[in-house]
Amino acid sequence: MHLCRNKLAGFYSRKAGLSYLWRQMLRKNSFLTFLIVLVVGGACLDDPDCVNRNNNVITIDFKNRDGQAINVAIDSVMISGTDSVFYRNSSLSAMPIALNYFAEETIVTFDIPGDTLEFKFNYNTQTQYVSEDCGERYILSGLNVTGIDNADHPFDSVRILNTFPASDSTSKTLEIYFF
Amino acid sequence: MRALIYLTLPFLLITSYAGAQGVTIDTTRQDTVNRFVPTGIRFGVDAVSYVRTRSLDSFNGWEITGDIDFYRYLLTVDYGAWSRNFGEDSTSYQNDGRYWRVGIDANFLTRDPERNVFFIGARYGRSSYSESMTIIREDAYWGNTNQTYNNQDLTANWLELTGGLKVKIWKLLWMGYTARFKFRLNENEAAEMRSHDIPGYGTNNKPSTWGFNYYIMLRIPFRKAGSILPPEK
Repeated sequence: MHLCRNKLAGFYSRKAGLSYLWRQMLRKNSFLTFLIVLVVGGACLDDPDCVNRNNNVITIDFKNRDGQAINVAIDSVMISGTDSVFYRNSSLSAMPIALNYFAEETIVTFDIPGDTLEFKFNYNTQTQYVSEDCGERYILSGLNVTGIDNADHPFDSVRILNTFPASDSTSKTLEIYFF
Repeated sequence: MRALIYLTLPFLLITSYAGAQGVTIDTTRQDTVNRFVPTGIRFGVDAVSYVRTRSLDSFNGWEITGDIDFYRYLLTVDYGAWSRNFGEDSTSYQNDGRYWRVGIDANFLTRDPERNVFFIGARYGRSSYSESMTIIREDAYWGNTNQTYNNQDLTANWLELTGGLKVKIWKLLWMGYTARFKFRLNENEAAEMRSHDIPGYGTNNKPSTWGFNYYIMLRIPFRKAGSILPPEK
């Protein structure tokens, strides 16, 4: 009884400072937060998106000298680093092309009726580990077009809109202005 | 480690100087000066690093922390190390490094006689680490690749906004947590391989991230002290 009275006296004597109850809550809060973070934190870690993790897509727009979109007849498109042939017998005003992310140069050869155009794309390639599920990703930057071999090419100029290729075909990278 | 000594040594000197001066100090100014004389030093270990090391195969790390009070402000220093080891099949990544953080916390429980701490503060963090990655990949378009990348002796810096609690549990035993919102200041952008994980900072895919530590600490008092500010009347 005496002990109990002393405790009560001690409890009320702390009224001026932080209450005994409040300090107990702090202690419980400290433990509780640790448990919550362990349980919730583990579940809420956002997993990275494995789709489209490489930004190796450029989209080429074909335009006339007035800046209007035009359709260009294409027999085929060859891309260095792969044996595949793309856009066979097509007529397109815009064309997404994938660049080789294992290299720092990709040569794209357009076969158009009566002519062959070769574009050499240079860029910097970096790689970064993403996760155990996704593996690695490749980051391309500093895109530049060089080595256009055909002097009698039917186009006026090439304009780079973005030196960072995209991870899909939604953003424009390059415009080719034809005569 | 040298940085840790450089950072804590001046404060230990100030502490001992102030302690010695306490005998001859002008009594009219004693209260004001005494406020900024540290009342104790607290140090501890991080339980989250321990739990992660025990529960995750991909993580191995530890962290120690220490703080010393100056009136309602706490100078806090953390020092730690971690290594990550991901994947064994087509893509594997390893890193290993050490880090430290230093910063100031402001205690908002100024009238607590036990000097429990509810704080908001800031930190500067710096990490030194090395990393490597091996890629063995068969790509449908671009063929096969087998590459190994190594980045040695990298450094990274970041800033943190922190908040948390430090609570006296029993006698010298304290526990508390620190939640961190981290902003990366720099990374090795020029290298062929970009960092996936920076020891002390975390995953490097975004310019900001968050972290959490739960510390088990001991507080060694230098002198008897009540609440930071006198109780309200």
